[in-house]
Amino acid sequence: MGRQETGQRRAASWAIAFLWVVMAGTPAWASRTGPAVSVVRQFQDTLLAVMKAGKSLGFEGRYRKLLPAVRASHDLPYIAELTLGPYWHKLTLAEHRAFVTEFARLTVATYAAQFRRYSGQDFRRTASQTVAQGDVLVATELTTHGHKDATIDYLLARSAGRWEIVNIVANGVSDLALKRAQYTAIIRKKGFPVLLSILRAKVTELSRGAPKR
Amino acid sequence: MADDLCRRTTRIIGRTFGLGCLLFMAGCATTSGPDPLQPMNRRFYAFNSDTDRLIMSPVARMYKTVTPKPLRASLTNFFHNVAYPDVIVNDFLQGRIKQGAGDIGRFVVNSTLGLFGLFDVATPLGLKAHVEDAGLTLGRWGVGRGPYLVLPFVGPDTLRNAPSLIMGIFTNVLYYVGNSALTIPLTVFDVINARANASSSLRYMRENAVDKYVFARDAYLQHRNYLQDGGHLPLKAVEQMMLPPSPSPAPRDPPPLADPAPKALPVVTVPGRAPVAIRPPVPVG
Repeated sequence: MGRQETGQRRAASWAIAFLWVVMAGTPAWASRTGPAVSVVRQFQDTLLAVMKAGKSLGFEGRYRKLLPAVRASHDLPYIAELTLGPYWHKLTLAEHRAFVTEFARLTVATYAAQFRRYSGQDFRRTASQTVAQGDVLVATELTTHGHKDATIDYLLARSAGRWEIVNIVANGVSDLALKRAQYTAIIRKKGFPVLLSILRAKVTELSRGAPKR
Repeated sequence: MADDLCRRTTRIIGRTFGLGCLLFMAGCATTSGPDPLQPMNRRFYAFNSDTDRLIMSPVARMYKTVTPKPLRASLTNFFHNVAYPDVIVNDFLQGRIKQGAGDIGRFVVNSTLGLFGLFDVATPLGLKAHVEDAGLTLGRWGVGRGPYLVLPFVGPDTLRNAPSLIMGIFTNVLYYVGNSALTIPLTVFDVINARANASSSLRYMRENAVDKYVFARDAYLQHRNYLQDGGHLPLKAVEQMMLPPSPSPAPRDPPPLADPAPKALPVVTVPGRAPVAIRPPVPVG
C-alpha cells in the first residue's frame, strides 16, 4: 500500500468521522420542527423584553408591543373557533367576526396584564416533536433565577405556509380547554351576546389592573 | 401521651366517618358528566370565596408583609418536608419502589442536613421532589375519578381524592409530635403559608377567568390528570382538543380536556389545512 493511498484512506476516515459527529450532534427534530421552535423563541423573546420594560411601558405600552407579536405567532381566528366548540356553527358570520375581534383583544390584554414586571424570569426550551396532524409540540420551561416555575408546552400548526401557536398547555392545563369550558358554559346559560359583553368588560378590567387580594 | 394519641385518633375516625357519609351521598347523587353535584359545589365555592376574601386573603397579605421571602421559602420547605412521608407511603402503594427509595433518601437528607427540612439540600443532590397522594394511588389502582367536589374550607376535590385528606393527617410528622402547644400553631402557620404561596395562582384566576367556578374546576381536573400521568402532557387529549368544532347539537355539559380519546382515527378538515387523519404522536429526536 503506497503512502498516497494510505493518506487518502486516512482523509476519507476523517471525513466520515467528521460527518458522523456533525450528524449525531444535530438533533433529528431540529430540521423538522426548527421553524416552529423559532416562532416560539421569537414570541418568548418579545415577552421577556416587554417584561423587562414592563413598568415604564404601562399596560397600554405593553399591549402595543405585544399586539404584533401575538398576531404573528398565534392563529387567533382558529383558536377562537375552537374555544366556542359546537356553538361556533350556530353563529352568524358577523358574530364570528365580532367574537374573533374580542377574543384577540382579550388574548393580547391578558399577556399585557400577566407579563407586567421582570424578576429574573427566563424561558428554557427543552424539546420539540411532531404530533398528530403534522402539528409540532414545543416544550419549554418558565424559570425564575434558574429555578423551574412551570412547564409550558406550545402546540403549533402550519397554516398558509406559516407556523402558528394554536394551544398553550401550562403544567398540564390547556388554555384552550379552559376557555372552551368557560365560554360554552356562558353561552349555554346566558347566550352569545352576554359572552361578548363579558369579554369586553374583561379587557377593560385588565387594562385598569386587578385589585390586590 | 398514649391517651392523647388515642383521643386524636378517635376524633379523626369520627371525621372520617362524617366525610364518608358525605361522599356516600355524593356517590349516590352521581348521574353523568364530571360535575353532577354542581348546585351544591357552587354554593360551597361561593362560601369558600367569601371566607377567602374576608379572612384568608387579608391574613396571607399581612403574613407576606411581615415575613421576608427567604424565611417564607424555608417555612415552605419545612412544611413540605414534614408532609413528605405521604409521598413515600404512596410511592410504595403504587409499586414505585425506586422512586420510593429515592424519596426516603430525600426525606432523610432534608430532615438532617437540611435542618429539619428548612433547607432543600436534596434537590441539588439529584433527589428531586415528587407529587403522590392517596387519590393518585387509587387512580393508579384503577378506581374511577368520581364526581367533582368542592369541600368547605378545602376547595376543589374529587370523590377519589377525598381519602387523601385523612391519609395526609396520619402521614404528617407533626401528627406524631404529641405536643399540641407546638403542633396547633405550626398547623395554622402551614395553612397561612400555603395560602400566601397560592396568591399568584389565585390572582391569575381572578384576572383571567370569565367564569371562576368553571375555570377552577377545569384547571383542577386537568392538573390532576396531568399528575396522574406522572407529569407528562396528556398529548392525546390535547390533540383531541384540536379537532374542529362539530356542527352537531351542543352538549349540555362539555367534558373537560382529558376525557377518553376516540378509538377510531377520524379524518378531519380544518379550513386552510389539508384533510388528515388523527394518528398517534410520532416522537422524534
